[in-house]
Amino acid sequence: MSATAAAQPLPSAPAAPRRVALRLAQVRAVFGLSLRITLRGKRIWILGFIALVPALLPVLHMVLVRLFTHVGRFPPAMDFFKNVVSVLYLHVLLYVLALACGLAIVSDEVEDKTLVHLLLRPLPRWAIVVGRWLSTWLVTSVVLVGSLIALYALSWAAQQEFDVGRRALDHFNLTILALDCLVFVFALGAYLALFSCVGAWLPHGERWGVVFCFGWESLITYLPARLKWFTLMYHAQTLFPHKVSVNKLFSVWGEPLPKLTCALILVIVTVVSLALTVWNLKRREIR
Amino acid sequence: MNAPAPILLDDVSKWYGDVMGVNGISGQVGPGVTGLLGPNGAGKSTLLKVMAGLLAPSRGRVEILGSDPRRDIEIHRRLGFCHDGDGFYDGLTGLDFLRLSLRLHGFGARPARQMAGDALEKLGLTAEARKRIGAYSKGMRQRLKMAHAIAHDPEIVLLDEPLAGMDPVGRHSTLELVRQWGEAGRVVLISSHILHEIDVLTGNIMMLSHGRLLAEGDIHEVRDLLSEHPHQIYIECANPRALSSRLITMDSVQKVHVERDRPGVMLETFQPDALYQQLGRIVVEEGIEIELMTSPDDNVQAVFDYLTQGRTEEGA
Repeated sequence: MSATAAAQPLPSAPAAPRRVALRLAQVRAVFGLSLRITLRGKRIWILGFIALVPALLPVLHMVLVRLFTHVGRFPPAMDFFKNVVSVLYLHVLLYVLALACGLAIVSDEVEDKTLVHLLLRPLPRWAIVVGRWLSTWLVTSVVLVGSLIALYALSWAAQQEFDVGRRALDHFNLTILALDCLVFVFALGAYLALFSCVGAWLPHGERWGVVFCFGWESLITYLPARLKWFTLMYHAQTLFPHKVSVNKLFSVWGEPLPKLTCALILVIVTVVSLALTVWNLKRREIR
Repeated sequence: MNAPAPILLDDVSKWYGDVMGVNGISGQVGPGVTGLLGPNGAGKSTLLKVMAGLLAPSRGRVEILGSDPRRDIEIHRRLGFCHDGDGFYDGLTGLDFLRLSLRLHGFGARPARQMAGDALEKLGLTAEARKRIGAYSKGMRQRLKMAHAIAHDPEIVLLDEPLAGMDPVGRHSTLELVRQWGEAGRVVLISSHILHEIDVLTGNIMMLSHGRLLAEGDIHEVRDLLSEHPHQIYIECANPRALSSRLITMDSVQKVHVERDRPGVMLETFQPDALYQQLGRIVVEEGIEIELMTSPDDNVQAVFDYLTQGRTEEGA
């Protein structure tokens, strides 16, 4: 162990006037640290595996059709894709990813007692929250979009298998896929922000998260009037380029809000949730 | 006008609900090494966390280099804290952990890597730099925490029980490192419940017990202020009986006792300065050759025992 260099000058910290550049560099540093930790953890790989399951449904469907029917038939790829998206991706996978990763944005650092390492650096609290939220958003989006692309490709391939020729190719619409991916990523950002706030403020945030997703968000859409406006799912569904099941079923309750309004509401929820998370971090004490 | 002390505590108290962490602590810490001493549960970690801005004081005020560490995040450029927790990103290597921590300051990739390497070298972790932290021993994790605290070259270093879990060699070299930081002009506040560890490092202390500050300042000055306890002096010589017969006649000596298991005399006095003057004369007159003279109770442990004993008796 050498101590002789203790008094040697080290490179000095960046000067204050370059504050904006400094803050951006700090957010990037938190993002990089968080990304590294996420990718080296087990959670995201398990979620990646879970996300593959609905993507493999076309293959399962094809196998079942082949085994149990004499005349092979596969629904149009686009219909199959839309149904799986509106049932499994929108109401299960989106929630699972947002709950598992959003709640962890702050609570993982608290439970692992690693938050202290961040709080002992000259980092604004918002940089910690934004950096971690961005990295989580990126990783979960890659998982979700990857799964969607796989689902789309396999749906198309399955239909091609049964319905050879031009008809299958006619259904091949990359714009729908791209827009669906965009809406999912957008909605995922809002859910992650909301659950980061829940994880920061509430003990046993996972229980509240499950109640919110599979209780409030699911039940409220069956109620009349405008209560559904108080769900994120309603606004996310409105943004889809095609009808999703719940919209179709409950459109009797009135005209949907304009897409722009819904997008704005999701942005507001994201910003407010992140701001509340930052506030929690500012108040937080490390015993 | 004197410059304000780098660390200033003004009536600092911290409660956790009904439980008192620290209570009404005032004082200041200047350059050099200062020992923060006290038994487990005395409030050392709480006080250090308040100083580092990790806890908000329930009452009172802390100033680090003129700033409130809870509000001014920029103070962490000049402050390093080796805390008592053991949470790490176990999947990262030691080098990556430090390098990424320095990037959080805003340092560029190259300086961050260089500074991280330097800090690991100072703490003797170069060989383990590329190992996953999850594979580190407790002593190595402790040294990594210290490297984390000093990697950005802070002016103030707070060390909470930094020797815990270290082997004797690690303890020795860490104490040497801390001593050198102090000599280099850094403000180093090091806590320990093992008092003799600090005794060899510095005479400048803050003593806590039950959340209260018992004493602050130079250990020898604090000892001199404890007027109800006579100073113990041990003198080793070839003829302890002859020496004791002369000592017993002196007004400044309260008690003399010839040791059975070693060739020396243990005496107690309330006037050590007067005794040392008279002792010189006796030694010359009697031709006694003194081989060793020590003060067994002029150390941190003895002072702490006296102070806590006093408090216990007050409490009773």
